Amino acid sequence: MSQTSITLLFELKRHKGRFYIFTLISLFFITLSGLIPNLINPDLLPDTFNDFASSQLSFINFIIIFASFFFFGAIIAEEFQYKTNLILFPKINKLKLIAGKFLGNIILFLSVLSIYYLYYLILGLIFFQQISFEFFLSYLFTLLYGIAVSTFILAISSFMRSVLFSIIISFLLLFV
Amino acid sequence: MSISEIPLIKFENLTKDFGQIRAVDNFNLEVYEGEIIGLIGPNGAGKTTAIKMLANILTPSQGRILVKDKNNKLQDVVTNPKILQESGFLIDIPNFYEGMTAYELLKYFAKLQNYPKNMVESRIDEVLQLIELFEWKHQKVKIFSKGMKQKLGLAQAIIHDPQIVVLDEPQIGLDPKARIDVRNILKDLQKNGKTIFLASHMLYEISEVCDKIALINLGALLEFDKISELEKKLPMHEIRCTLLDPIESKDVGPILSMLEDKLNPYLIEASTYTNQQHHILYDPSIQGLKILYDGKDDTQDKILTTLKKETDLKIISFFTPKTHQLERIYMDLIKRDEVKRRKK
Ligand SMILES: Nc1ncnc2c1ncn2[C@@H]1O[C@H](COP(=O)(O)OP(=O)(O)OP(=O)(O)O)[C@@H](O)[C@H]1O
Ligand SMILES: [Mg+2]
Repeated sequence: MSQTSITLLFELKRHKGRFYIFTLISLFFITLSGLIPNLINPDLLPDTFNDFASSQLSFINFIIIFASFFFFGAIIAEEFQYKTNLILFPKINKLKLIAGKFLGNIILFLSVLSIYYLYYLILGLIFFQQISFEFFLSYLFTLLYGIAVSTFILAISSFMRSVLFSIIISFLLLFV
Repeated sequence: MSISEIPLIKFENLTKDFGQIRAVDNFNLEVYEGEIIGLIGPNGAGKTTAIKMLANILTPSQGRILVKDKNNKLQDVVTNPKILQESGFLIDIPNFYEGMTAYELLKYFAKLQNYPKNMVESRIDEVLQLIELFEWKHQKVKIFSKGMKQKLGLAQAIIHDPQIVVLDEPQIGLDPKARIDVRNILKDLQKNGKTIFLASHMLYEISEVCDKIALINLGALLEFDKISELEKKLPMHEIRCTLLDPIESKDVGPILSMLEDKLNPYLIEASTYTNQQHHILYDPSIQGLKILYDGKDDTQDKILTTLKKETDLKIISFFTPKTHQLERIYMDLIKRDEVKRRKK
């Protein structure tokens, strides 16, 4: 196995906590805003699945930005800040280490987004007995957007030696 | 050149500058297979910096470090970092991903370094038992004490059974028993043919395990030799002379000045080498005298004869304390280097 894939698997194990937390946040939100109100009062339900989905999916942007700081803001900076590089760098090529960590986190991150969409897909089937092509397109764009944001944050954090700093700087750059 | 004449590690004109600071200064050293080399020197001497360059974490400003490969060719660690797969490093105070367990970390490290897959599990157990952390195998590093992290640091350096083991202050923060354990681990590693490069301030530990000492000050190598050889260069030697009866405090002054008079030809100018003003001290805790003499071979006998003949002190033992040998070598050589630098 290559050093990159060993690191990837290790990273999956190391950050499963983050994955659980963000999955829980998503599930909690969707249950509160998409499931419960419509169960209690079916009149609130929009006419089509597309209307329903687009009114609900805006929360995903919040998840993308917020989660990607947690998943990617520290990848490089943590090695220097906590000096774990002194243990790791003699063992592994730096690029392979970063590649493995990035890929591991991207898998966890995209899984959170996928579970989010999966939940809506199930809701769509329950409430409308159908889903739409646009929904899949939206999913695809969300994945691409997620990858773009995480790459951006990784790039910013590669200039920083402090985890907090790299999170703050990428936050400012994204919103200002 | 025969194979054994090719060094395993070779530092060649190694220099590292951090801006204005020259941390390592034209450092040359050859380490041969199976040797344990002790790297000693004051804080900031450049030990960690030299080791970081050997580990390819820092790049030299000038010079290079070569390591022998399987075909007995010397390879530059910068251009050929794969050569370091046969080495294990413990650098400075080790830090781990805190949320992981000792087992998870060691497994990751072993896999990264290509340790045979079917042996990883048993190797982890073996190493954890060696450093007495086996009960903590599945605990997160977060809850480890400083010394336990240090032990785990040693474990990760040897987990893949490397030929070269490089340790930067491995015994820092360890309790006395663990320190002795580490000493024995190092000796065992040497028995198995490993080569060890060890930086430490624990001179006693160094003198117990190391074949040769490299003393550095302000980045430059001052001496590189066996302790016994270095000792010969010492101008100042110490004799301990324990007495049957303690000297009462009111008598100490007169007795010491009487002794200084009688032994004068054999004594050296103590203040040049230590902070003390006198050549002869009385130490109530050992109930004996500490005498700084010129170190010449026949002087010891002459001092002893003089003490016996010309004083009525009852002498129980008369010896050169071995444990302080390296300390004295260290102090003397550093001091001499400082005097030399000041003159420049
Ligand atoms: N990253 C760095 N940037 C600037 N200067 C540095 C850096 N690392 C080390 N130095 C300087 O290089 C010199 C050598 O430091 P080094 O850590 O190698 O000493 P050392 O011999 O390991 O000391 P100690 O016994 O205290 O561990 C010191 O003057 C230190 O200030
Ligand atoms: Mg150091």
